[in-house]
Amino acid sequence: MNRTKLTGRTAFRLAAIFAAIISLTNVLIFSILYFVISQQLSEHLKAHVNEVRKTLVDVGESSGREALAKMVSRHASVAESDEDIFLLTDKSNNYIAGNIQPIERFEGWRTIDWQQLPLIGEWTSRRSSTAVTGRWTDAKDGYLFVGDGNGDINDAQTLLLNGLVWGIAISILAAVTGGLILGFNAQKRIGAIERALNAVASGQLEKRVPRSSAKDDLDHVASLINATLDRLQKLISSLKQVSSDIAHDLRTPISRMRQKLEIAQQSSTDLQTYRATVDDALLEIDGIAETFEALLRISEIEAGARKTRFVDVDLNSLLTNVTDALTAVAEERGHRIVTMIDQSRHETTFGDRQLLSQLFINLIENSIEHCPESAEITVELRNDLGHPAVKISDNGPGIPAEERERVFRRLYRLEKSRSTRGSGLGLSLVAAIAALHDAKISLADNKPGLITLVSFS
Amino acid sequence: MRILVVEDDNQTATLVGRALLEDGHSVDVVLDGKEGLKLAAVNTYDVLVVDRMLPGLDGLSIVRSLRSADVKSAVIFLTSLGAIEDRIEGLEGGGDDYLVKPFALGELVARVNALGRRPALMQEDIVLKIADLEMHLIRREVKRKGEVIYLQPREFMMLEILMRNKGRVITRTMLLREVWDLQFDPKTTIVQTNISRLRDKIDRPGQIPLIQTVRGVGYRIDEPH
Repeated sequence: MNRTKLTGRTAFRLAAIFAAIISLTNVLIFSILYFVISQQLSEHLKAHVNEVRKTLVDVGESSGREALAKMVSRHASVAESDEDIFLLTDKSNNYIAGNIQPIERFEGWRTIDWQQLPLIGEWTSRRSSTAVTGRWTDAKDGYLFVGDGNGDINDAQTLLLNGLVWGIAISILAAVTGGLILGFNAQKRIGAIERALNAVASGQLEKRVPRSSAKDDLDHVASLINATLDRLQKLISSLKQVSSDIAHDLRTPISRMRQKLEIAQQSSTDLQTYRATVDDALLEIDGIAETFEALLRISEIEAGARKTRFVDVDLNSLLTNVTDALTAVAEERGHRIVTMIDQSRHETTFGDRQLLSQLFINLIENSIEHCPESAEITVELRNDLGHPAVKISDNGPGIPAEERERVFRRLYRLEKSRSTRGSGLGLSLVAAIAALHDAKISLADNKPGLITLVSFS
Repeated sequence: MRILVVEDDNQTATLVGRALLEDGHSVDVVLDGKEGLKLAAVNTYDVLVVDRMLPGLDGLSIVRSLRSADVKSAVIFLTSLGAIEDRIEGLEGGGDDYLVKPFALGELVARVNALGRRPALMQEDIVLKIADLEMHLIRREVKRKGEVIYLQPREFMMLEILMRNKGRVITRTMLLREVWDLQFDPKTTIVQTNISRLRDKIDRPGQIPLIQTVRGVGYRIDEPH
């Protein structure tokens, strides 16, 4: 049997799909966060610059340029860690105070690359800023530039990116682990199904798919497969049974017939003996055909196809017809058939009229054949708790309790009735028909005699 | 009657053909499905005896084609497929009767005769008569030599079937089917016993027996010769 490729297996496919979906979700969430937080921080930076600018301009207005220059110098001297940039110039753009050399003037906000800033002094403790955002303002007969490094934004972004990478890594790990666990679980159960089916295919018909306690779809499939296998096993065993029955029960009469014909061919001299042999052979052949027919009929019934033709069957008229047909035969043997059928109350069951007729004919015929002279055979149609039931009782020899189970087996005949005519399939046929109709057959002692109760559901 | 037998087993075909010939019919026998279809379409046969399983064109297809071409000959299938599904398929496909192998030649001849006489010729008759036996169908009354004989309903049915088919053999299987609606062979001698009761009532000692037993096949009622 072919092993599927690794990537084709459920476990790996599940894991890969989980990982991809979770990673994508992560990227999306982090992108949104990244965008929103960067925006927020950049707004925050501008607000900070504006605040400082306003304070300095106010100082200039109220206390003059000297005070302003002093203030700027003070700010500039501690600006390193904050990466704040200050520059105060006169009208001709000459340096007055600040931590950078004069730069070009411009309107509005601008972001300047850190590398391009003419920094004054050593910026040893500087952090991660790669650029400065700031703007120029008029301040007390000069110009003031205030800017702020983007270190905070960079830090936040780095943090976010780190988060993203870790997040993806962790979620992929979780997805792969989860997927593999789930997948391997499924794989294990599929593997069990595979093994069971392979075993059945190789002839171990009794093998079944193990059921799990989880009431999930896989378990449902397993139960369906088992039901199919049950049916298969039943059909095959019925087929085997038929072949072995045919071999067993047809060979004997065929060889018997052969021997009789042989003897006639070798030693008969007159027409009379020949005639007798031919008559005998014809009887044997009819018997063989009858057995054959009965075997095929049983297997056909057991296969269940006839169920599709079920209709509502009126048991009153069916039993009346059956007892009517058998009355003369019973009387000829000195028996009496008593019917207890209430014709004002109709009992029906869902079934096949012909098969049900055969079921009751076989049961009554059994009583007729196995009872010694002048037995009374009672056929009663009744209603047991809302379900129709037919009780057939006689006062003949009955069936010993220990044999009652076995009489419904194929080709089983009580030892003492071996000599009577019949295929020995009558009761097997009865059992098969009853099973097809979901009817229960029970045998009981009539003290003396036999009670056969057929209960429909 | 004119009868066509389509059966691929040479020996069966010959035996069936001969049996029908001896019964007084004109018989054509073919071993091949296509040949059978051709003959059945061209000639007007009363009855076709067709094997279900033929090489080339199978029996069911032959009958289906004939029915769609509006050929009305009665059809009896010979089949080794005994399952109910196959029987129903055969009857729905245009067959009028079926006979499962192995069968008795007498059974086949009787069934063919029964088919050929459809629809019953004596349908309108009110009184059926054979020798001094009379059956009044409306009064449900039977008389022999003017003396009323009391029959059970099933006995009346058996006698009516026999009398309607005067001179023809009615098999046990046919009687089981017609009188008791039983389409299988019971173990006990239902038909034999009931016929013998009927016979006790109809053919009294000293009278000429009218109901004859055809050994291994069935029964026949006829004018005494």
